[in-house]
Amino acid sequence: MADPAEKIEEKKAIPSDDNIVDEGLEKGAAALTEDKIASVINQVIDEETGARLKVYVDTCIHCGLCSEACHYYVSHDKDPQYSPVGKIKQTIWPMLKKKGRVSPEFIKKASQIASTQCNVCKRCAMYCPFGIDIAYMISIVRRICHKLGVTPLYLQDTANSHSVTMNQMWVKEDEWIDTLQWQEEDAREEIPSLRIPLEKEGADIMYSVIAPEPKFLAGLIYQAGIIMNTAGINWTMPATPGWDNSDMAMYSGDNEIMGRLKKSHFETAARLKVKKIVMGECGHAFRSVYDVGNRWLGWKMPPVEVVHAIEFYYDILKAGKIKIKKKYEKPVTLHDPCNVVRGRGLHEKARYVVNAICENFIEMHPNREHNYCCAAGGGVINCGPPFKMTRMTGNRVKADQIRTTGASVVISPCHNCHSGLEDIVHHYELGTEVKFISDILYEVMEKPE
Amino acid sequence: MFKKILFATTASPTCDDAAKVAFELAKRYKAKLCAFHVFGIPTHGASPFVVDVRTGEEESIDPDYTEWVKEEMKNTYALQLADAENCDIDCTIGVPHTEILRKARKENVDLIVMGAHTRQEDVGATRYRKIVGSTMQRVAKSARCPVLIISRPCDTCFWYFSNIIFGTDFSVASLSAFMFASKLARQIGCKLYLFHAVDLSTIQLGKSEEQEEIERKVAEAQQKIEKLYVPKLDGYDNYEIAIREGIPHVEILKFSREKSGDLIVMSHHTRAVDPEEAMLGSTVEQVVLRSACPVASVNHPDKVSDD
Repeated sequence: MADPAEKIEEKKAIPSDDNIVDEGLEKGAAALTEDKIASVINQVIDEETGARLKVYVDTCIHCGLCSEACHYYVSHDKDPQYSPVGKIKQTIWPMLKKKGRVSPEFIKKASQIASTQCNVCKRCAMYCPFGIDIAYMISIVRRICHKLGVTPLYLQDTANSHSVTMNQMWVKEDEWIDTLQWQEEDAREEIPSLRIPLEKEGADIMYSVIAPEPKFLAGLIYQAGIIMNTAGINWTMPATPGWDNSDMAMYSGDNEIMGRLKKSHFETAARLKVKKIVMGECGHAFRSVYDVGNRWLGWKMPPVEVVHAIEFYYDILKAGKIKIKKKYEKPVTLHDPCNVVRGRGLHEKARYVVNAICENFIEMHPNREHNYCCAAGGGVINCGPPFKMTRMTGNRVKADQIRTTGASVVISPCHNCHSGLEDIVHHYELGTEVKFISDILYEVMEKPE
Repeated sequence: MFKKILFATTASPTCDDAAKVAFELAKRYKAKLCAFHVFGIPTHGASPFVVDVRTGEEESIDPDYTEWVKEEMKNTYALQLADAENCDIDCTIGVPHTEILRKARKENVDLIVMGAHTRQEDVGATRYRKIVGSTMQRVAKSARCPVLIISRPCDTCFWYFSNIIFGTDFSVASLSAFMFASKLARQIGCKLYLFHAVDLSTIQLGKSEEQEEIERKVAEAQQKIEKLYVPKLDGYDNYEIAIREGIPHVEILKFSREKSGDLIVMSHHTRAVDPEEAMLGSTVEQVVLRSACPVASVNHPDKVSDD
């Protein structure tokens, strides 16, 4: 049984998220009328949801066992406002009960809660005795708010970039190709025969990344090039839109754009006639390709096999395609990202990989599918500067978790987790380095002479 | 000799000495100059925040802010700009070395000029080093063109240089450095020193080599220079070969002092060393930190070979 929630009056010490002003939310809410709100809510409930939502709502017995699962709740000293069920109580329940007749002010608040105080990490679903997927209900709230035009500004901007360019960071097509050619040239200094093959029809693998890689982290593409070439993989990268597997529209509730993005990603793979798609170390992109986006398009499973980087590294290490020169010596810990662990069960493979490349691996507790969220995922970090402190105060528990391991490096095979953990490490002054698996793999692997 | 020059700057006093050289060079060679500044450093995972290089504050960047930084750069270099014929000012956010290399590639520049970013008193410059490792080292290692690094005031104008010192470790990359040094010496008509230091660093570990062995190595280096480089001088006879033994960076600095060197040309990290690991260990970095004259790092043949 969960500990009882504590009284709200005692919570003064932690800064409140109630006074945050976001232009997107303000302007969006200002344009609403109650009639408009009711018609949109009812349209979404009637036409886009069905038995699933009804069962979730009707089954909940208000026991509060989900509360302990949430990093926001725990970090806010058990403030019930931040418990998963508390967030449902402030959002979807009243919408249903009042048949959509809620105020613009209510929608504004609901959008803030759904987009910035929940990472849709699904940890709570594991603590609910009935397995109610609360994240799904939160996504419905985001969907309603999107249709009402009340989405946090920065998140909306990211979705706009997807809509215009088919990638997350306004990367132009020539910039994309040029970055790949540039990384190829640089990597050829290390392995003269190295290629980053573009548009190679019939390759075994299409490698796809998220837009921050060409934009800021070009070195990750370099590392991927070295790993692929050393392992002797027959691979390619697309030179057309569809190369970016990320999908913030999924999190802003803009399912139409999400669908377009996934379609173009799959179609690119189909056009190149590849056997499978291997994705870089990104969690939300995996969720969008493997779980949410494909289903929106009507595919129960992805039409092209999709492999996350963790699984890919596992395969090539296990098959001996990559040899380790000397294992990484610093003590490391591993952060299990929700979308590939709770969403795909890659935790044991991740441990195999980490143990194969690191000498000294320390488990974080709790771990695997019980790991606490990074508080950046689910589009929360993309809600930008206004909500940074929401993430920091809302995830003290993560800082404690990392600190207790005593590790000097935390490995995070997910971009969102990576950014979120960097912020946490900085805010709580942990002094821990945050690395991708590929950073370490690249460093310790044997490379051809 | 130079048609396009990229001046990569922190837009702070650290780069003032480099600015002087960059603007002078552009003027002299009628080159287009791109003054380029990376003003915001994103978190490693590319979240929507950047750290402003000057203030150290976390900012979110919008187009207005970028324009404002450009204006500030124009103010910083108002004096030089008044006199410059063909100069672009540009700035961006990103990881500095990545963006500098990207810009150099995009503009296809013939030379990158930058400060050494090593002054402790300059907060912004220190941040460049701290956050992203050594920007200068990473740029120098990967740039396709010569990188001119200026960490002390350079009183002589480039085209009045009288002594250029080319330091070699006989690597492939050194050949590119040689091409640049010899081309420059020929154009200016100045003296070119072909220099090598026999590495006796092991002395620090208590392992000293026999005198005979050292002498054999010195003679060998002399022969190598005569064979490798001298024929490529194509009859240019204003050169001198010099071999020393000791710790390479100390020897090249001593030699440069002795000969009143105006420019040291060498290649960077010719043995594959991770720049992070070799932060202060490499010869070039040590030379850059301590040299009284500018240092050019040349590692690739792209912009210096004749064909």
